[in-house]
Amino acid sequence: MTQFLQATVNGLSLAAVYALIAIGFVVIYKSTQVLSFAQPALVLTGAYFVSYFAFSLGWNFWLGLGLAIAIAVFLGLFVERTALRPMIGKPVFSVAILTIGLDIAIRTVINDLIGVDFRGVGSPWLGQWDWGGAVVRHAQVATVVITVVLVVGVVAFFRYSRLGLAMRAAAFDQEVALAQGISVAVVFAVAWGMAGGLAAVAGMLIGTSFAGVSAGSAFVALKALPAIVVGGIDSLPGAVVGSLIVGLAEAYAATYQAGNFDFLGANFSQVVPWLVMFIVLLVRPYGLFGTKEVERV
Amino acid sequence: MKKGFRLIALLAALALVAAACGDDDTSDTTAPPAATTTTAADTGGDTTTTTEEMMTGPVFDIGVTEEPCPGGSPDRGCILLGSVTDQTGTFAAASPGLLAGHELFWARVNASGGIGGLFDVDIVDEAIVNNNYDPATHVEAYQEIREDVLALAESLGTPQSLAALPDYIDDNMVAAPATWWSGWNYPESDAGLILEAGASYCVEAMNAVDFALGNLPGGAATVGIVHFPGDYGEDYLAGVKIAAEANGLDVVFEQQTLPISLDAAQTEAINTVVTQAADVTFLVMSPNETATIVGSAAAAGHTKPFIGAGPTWNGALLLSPAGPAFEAGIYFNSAPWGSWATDTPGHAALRASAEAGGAPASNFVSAGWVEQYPLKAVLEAAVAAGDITRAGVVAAAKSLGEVDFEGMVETVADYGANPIVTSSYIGKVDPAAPDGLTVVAGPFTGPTAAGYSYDGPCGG
Repeated sequence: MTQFLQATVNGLSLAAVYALIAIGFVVIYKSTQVLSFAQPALVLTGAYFVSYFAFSLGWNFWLGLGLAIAIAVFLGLFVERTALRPMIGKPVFSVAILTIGLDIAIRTVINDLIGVDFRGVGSPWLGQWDWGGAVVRHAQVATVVITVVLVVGVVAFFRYSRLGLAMRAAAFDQEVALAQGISVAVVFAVAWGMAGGLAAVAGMLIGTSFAGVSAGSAFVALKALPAIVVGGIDSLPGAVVGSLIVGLAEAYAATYQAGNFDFLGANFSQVVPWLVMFIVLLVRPYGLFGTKEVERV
Repeated sequence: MKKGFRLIALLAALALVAAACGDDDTSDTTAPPAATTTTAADTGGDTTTTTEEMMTGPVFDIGVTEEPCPGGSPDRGCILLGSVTDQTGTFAAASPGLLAGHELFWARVNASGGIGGLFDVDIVDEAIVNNNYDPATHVEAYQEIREDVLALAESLGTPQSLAALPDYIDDNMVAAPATWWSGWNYPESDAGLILEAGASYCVEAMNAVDFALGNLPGGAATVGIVHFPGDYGEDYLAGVKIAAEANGLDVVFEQQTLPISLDAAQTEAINTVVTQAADVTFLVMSPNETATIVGSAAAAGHTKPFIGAGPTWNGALLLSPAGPAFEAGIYFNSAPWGSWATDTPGHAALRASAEAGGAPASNFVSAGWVEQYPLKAVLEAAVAAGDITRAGVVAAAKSLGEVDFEGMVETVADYGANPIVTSSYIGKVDPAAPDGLTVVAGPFTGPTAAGYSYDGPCGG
């Protein structure tokens, strides 16, 4: 039971990080029809700047987090305006490849800034609790709580704000949205800015781990890909549910595979998110909550 | 007008093509008719003397210029080096430190009169390329710079370097490796082109097991190992198993883990460490995974010691949430050379250079520095032999005699024939030390490494 509880806590905190990144993917996709592979770079940028302000300079953690979010939002806006906007109308494949290039370029710069030393994020969540034998770090609970708050905020934004409604309209049909006086350019910019901000928070949460912030922190973002495919690439609830499925599956596999399914080899848990994605794609090609595409032929 | 412009453009293009395709004998092997050399004494400072001697300089071709290096002595030519490193992959965090070590090392060499008083050395910015810790990318990245440099100040990763080895052989390219795979000790594996420095991972592991037997309070009847896949993890694993077998120890687990910097991603390894509870667990990974495993295991009540391979440590880990676990004394570090504050002439020079250059006290900076000693010796030998062409450099490498590491690594008497180093160090965590480690043993060669028959790579 302790083992199950430990695995569940680990899985939930993992899922929370995936969910923040996955929402960024989905918001950009819904608004621009672009699958952005630059999310790892945005995650790393946010993580680095929280670390720089709150750990290296020793500033207040929340101030550092706020500044890092602002920088990541600005970076998202900058990328959208300078690199993505000129690509409007170009094949989606070309745009996706462009985001891969952006990701590599930004990560190379940030990796250089990260340097050789350990980098924490100066978070206040350093302790741990003992819940029935399971070690629950304060940072894990903070990760889940922050994610829940942000997910509720994002949902409320899309449901109740004018801009959120405009983004939903643009996602549904850009031409009709334009006809209604909605600035699609603003929608694109807000989508990238929002993805940057969420990625920055995700990066900070990754940095609360024992390992801190490193070049490898960026790769966590790639695990959000199976999460959005499982949930449905254009569905916000799908991003959250997909992240939960993927995060918990990964954690349970890490805990129970060894000793029970040794023939699968070491680190099979790292394959599990992709395996789950594969199975879901076989059954529901558009994900659990994705919109089925209908094409007139 | 438009026609005229096109004609001029066409003529210009033809001229360029003709220039590029023309007889380039002049750029082949060159021998400066006379060299004006500025020789500075190693001690530097006011004792610098200038001599003009009429002599025929060494012949050279690719990667060497008569023009001075940027910021170098105007009286000396320039040897151009490249680096195939990892800027975005698994060891991206190590790359800046390694590069800092290279640059500090060559800046000191240049300030001390360069190579043979005739050449400064420059690591060309444009020739520092990214292998993304991927063999195929390594080969492509190398091919971008193969015509621009004389040698490589760094070739990072064993599978990566092995993938490029056929090209290195074709190009007569010698390289200082940022990898301590035991195979580099043998010409059958590296064609004598890879200039390793210090004990291999395998030897380091043998010595670490021997240290654990005699020096850890709980003994080491059972050992476990958590390691990265690939050469680094598996060469060290091979050393642990060789020493365990030689000493009759029980290897209770061999857990492979992946370089992912998230606590949850190391769950499998942490569970294994805690539940199997070997007397000593060897860690072969990067500092980030080390922090996760040591910190999480300690949080779960694990108190048995860890010995980490050299690259598992970074002094800043003491600032991580795992810091208290490290300070509790359950972690030791094995390494081919001593920690930052070790009292050797090489360490002293490194510390002085790093302080002047603003580089951190890091074992990656040390590694970047140490791995240049054999390359320096090879370049000096090639210049002394009057042939600093690629072929001349290779010939110098294969017949190289003594390599002096200024005490950082034991002096190798006959490097070209036998570059194997069997001594290494063990450090313990010391928050007061610049890099957080103090040497507790070393340089020493344990009984296993002393008695081992070195006839091929440890992992087979």
